[in-house]
Amino acid sequence: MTERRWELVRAIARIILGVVVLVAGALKVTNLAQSAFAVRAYQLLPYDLAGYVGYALPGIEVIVGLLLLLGLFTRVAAALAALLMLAFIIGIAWAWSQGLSIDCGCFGGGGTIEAGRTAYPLELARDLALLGGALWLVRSPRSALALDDRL
Amino acid sequence: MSRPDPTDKLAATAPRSTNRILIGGLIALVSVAIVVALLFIGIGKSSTNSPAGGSTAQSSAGTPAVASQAVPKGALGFGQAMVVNPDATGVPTLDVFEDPQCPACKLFETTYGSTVQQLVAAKQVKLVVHTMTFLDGMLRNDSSVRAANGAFCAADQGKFYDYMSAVYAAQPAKEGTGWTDAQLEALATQVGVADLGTWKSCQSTLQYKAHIDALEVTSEKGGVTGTPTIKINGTVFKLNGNVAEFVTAIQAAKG
Repeated sequence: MTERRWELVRAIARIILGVVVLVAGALKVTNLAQSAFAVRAYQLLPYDLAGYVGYALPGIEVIVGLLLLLGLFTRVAAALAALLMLAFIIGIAWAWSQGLSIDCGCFGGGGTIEAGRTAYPLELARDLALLGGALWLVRSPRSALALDDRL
Repeated sequence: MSRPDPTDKLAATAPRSTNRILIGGLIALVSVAIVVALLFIGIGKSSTNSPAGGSTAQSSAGTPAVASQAVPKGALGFGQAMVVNPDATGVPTLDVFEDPQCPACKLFETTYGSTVQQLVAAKQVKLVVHTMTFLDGMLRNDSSVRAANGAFCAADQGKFYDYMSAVYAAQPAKEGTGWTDAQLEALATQVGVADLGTWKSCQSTLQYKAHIDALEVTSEKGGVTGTPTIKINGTVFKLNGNVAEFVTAIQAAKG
């Protein structure tokens, strides 16, 4: 493929990643107490710290998601998205390994659910795919339809 | 001169990079402001609503806000669970974590409730109820807190367990509908709260709101983030609908 084609493919990857992160943040930013509750359900961070993470995370997701969607500071935004995905993967893998039955709370919700309703493999696969896309954009941030080109 | 004059090239790139730095700086500034604002919302919430975030139930207990630290009769302390039958000693402890609005908790009450009542009446088990209210956040209403407060106001007149049972029996079919103030008051009458006037003033001021919020924090800090959670002598018991197994597990546990 020509470089022009690759830039189009990367634009698709960038927009998918941006939309997922933006939607995840937007669904949680209107109910921050719930977000804090979902983080606490992982039983990974101390109670207070989990609360702060729960309050700050949706805002960070909205900002990173918007930057990716617009293609603005793609490399920085993709690096932040990769860090987020890495944190989510660690969290979900932790919950799974500890035998917790929780909803990942990725798009709102969260907390303990029935053992049969957990979806750890699916959640991990999704976040791994998004992590791959994010890392690719860190390595080669040039993509089509990006505001980066206008700066 | 052998080197080419770089002025033209610099002039062409300079404004672009300046723009980039300006916009980047602006975005970074706004982002930090947004995140800090969200954190302050969290800290503000925790200091007014519940002792989450920066402080703990213990550290705020010394403040002179006497009314807000009110503890209902039968509770083990501020932000601590309710002991339904404190006179039962030397028997296994049954910890029940329930949210009034949780449909699975209603199912627990329907399936196991009468058995639990018998065990409690026969003093074969010490029942400790940890009322949780996180579903208010999920369902975006305040029905769990109001129902819990109603139960604690009833506790002052010795009717906590009766009131809680009535709340589950009257739980609306659709999760999130909640109860009206009139419905909660009718439940107080139904379970035989003797001094209805005291109950009403206790309920209208949400007298035990601070206790309820602190109780939620205590449960979450104990690692309970779902309801119903049942513990027999501190060990989680997995509910499967088989009441006989449940009774056997309690009888096997030591007091």
